[in-house]
Amino acid sequence: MARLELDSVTKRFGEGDGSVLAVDDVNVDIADGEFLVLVGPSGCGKSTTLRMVAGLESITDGEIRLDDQRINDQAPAERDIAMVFQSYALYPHMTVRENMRFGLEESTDLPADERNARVEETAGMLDITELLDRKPGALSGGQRQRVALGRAIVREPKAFLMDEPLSNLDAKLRSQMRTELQQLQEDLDTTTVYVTHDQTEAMTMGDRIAILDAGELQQVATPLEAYHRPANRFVGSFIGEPSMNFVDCGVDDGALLGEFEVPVDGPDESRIGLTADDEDDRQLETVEFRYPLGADVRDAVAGSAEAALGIRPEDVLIEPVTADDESDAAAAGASPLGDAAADHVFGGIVTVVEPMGDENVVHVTLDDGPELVATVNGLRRIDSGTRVRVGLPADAIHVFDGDTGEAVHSRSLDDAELDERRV
Amino acid sequence: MSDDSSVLAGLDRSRIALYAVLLGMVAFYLAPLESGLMTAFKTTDGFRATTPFAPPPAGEFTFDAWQVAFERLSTGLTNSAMMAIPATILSAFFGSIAAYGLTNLSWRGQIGVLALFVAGVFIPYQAVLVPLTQFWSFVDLGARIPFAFVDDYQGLINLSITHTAYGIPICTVLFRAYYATIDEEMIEAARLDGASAMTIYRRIILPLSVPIFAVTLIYQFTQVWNDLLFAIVLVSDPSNRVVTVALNQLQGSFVQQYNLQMAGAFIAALPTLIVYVLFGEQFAKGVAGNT
Repeated sequence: MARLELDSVTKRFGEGDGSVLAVDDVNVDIADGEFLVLVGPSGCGKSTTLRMVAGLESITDGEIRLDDQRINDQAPAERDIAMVFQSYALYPHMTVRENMRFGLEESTDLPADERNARVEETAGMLDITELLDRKPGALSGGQRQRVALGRAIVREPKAFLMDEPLSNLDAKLRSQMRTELQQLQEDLDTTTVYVTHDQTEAMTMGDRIAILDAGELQQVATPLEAYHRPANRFVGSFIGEPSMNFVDCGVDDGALLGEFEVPVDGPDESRIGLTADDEDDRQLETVEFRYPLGADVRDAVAGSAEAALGIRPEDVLIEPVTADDESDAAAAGASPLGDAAADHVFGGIVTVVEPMGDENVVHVTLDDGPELVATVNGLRRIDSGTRVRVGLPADAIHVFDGDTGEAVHSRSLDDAELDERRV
Repeated sequence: MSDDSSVLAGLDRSRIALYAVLLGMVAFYLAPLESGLMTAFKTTDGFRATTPFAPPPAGEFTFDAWQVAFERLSTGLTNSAMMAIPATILSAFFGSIAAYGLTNLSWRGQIGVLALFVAGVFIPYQAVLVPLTQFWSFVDLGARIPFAFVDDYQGLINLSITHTAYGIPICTVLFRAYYATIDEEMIEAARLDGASAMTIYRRIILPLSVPIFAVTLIYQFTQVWNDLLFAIVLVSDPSNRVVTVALNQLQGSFVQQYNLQMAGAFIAALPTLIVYVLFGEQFAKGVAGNT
């Protein structure tokens, strides 16, 4: 049980000009019993951060505190922290029982029978009692994973550190272990820092997630907050699958205005499946994508010259254009487009449809240039090549500053309860 | 059906060719051994009258050569064992510890130290003969350590220590290659579990090193046992003579007693063979990199 604080933690590998800044001024305060997920693309410094907490990597600058005690200079063994490694790191010449007992033998003065009792108890909790006398070589990947967990749990440390513990499992086992790990962490109520590159794991497991990119902390928030109110463009694109759509625009008189080069004969069926090389031969013309902004957003972008419009795929509304309403496009307020105002509705064509079962991922190219990804209900039938009207509702858009990438406006959440802590 | 039989026939032909080649190679490699063995069982007249690989002719078969060779080599065998066994074990053990320190622990300047070890592998024996003799006459263990044992076996102790020191670099390099394949995360896990560097060596690295110990022990024992150069230069006391020197002295000055020399060569080589048999299985694992 412990509160873990990272205070301006910085890690620099090497010295002088050739040094590499791996972790840059990271501040996170992890409450007692909290499950924090550190997530980011490979090389973002998340593992380095975890290894600094474990004591396997020295800290260049800043301070790490465990229960208000500075642990920077303590050896890994003194920190009372257990870690689960991606490779499981089991001792191959020892049985499961010996593997789990090793830490107790080396770090505690418990008498032998008590050590054995603790091992038995933990094994029972993880349902690996029958594996206790086998060696790691005789176990499946999933079983090894459990033993690695057991080895951490049996020590009853102040905090667990997990470095991509599920990434060597197959997809089905992974989602099963995800649930189980969450349950386990809740039961043990031990502070946990979990590193992953998988945004699904981050979203589903963490009480809070900390998103890192290029060694810098981008945002620390609950999963839903990070999803709906990304602090910047990176978080918006990293969290969520499929990724958020972005349209780079200039700011022009209360609207976002983007210029795109499209073939003169417009996006049509003949274009589908062509590669960039084929398109070189086509004559291009410049078209404008214009997205009028509401009064509040207009104020938010007033200071920016450039901005990016962001919208989640599930917020992109799609309605096929049928022959009889082609002439009647103004009636766009009708059902599937919801309450998207007429000037937030654009013509486009479906280029690719990826059926996922529960939903279809639809790639559309707007006549005005941008290419967007939308998700629609799996039971709706949409074919590639269909002409569609695409609605981008004003209350669902995010706007990011063009230079800094910082969010200047997030989607409205009138209908959500995000500030309540998850149970 | 006919297809099957023709395939089988083709297979048979290639098999036969394969076995013929293999048998030829076996004969080629075993011929010197066979000749030596046959000669060892012949009397002096016997090996003069027949070709080396022919079996002893009637009446010329004898164990005499073996008996004489064993009598003349027995002191040398004991001396060699007393010298080679500690030298082998110590150089393997020190090599293992050095490799652990240079591979699995990280500290400033270790690359420089490693370079010294690697350089040590390439120092030719001949280049150090003079300084080595001077060194041992300066150290003069017998005079400094007042035990009769040290005085009696001074030559063997000097030789044993020299071989240990000379074996450490190559043993370190062998162990290092093996330790580099050990999962780093496992050692980190042990550190987090509270184990010190020495405990990690004793409880994790050492138990995992059995195959590479077999490789080094076999290699190093053969090297030390077969060495003649250091043995001639460092050991002057005849009672401390090792088996390679004794074997060399089986060579008569006027008459070549081939039967005696052959029997002596087999007796002198036997211990290295025994070591191979003892550690063979682990040796194969070590060579195959089976962890």
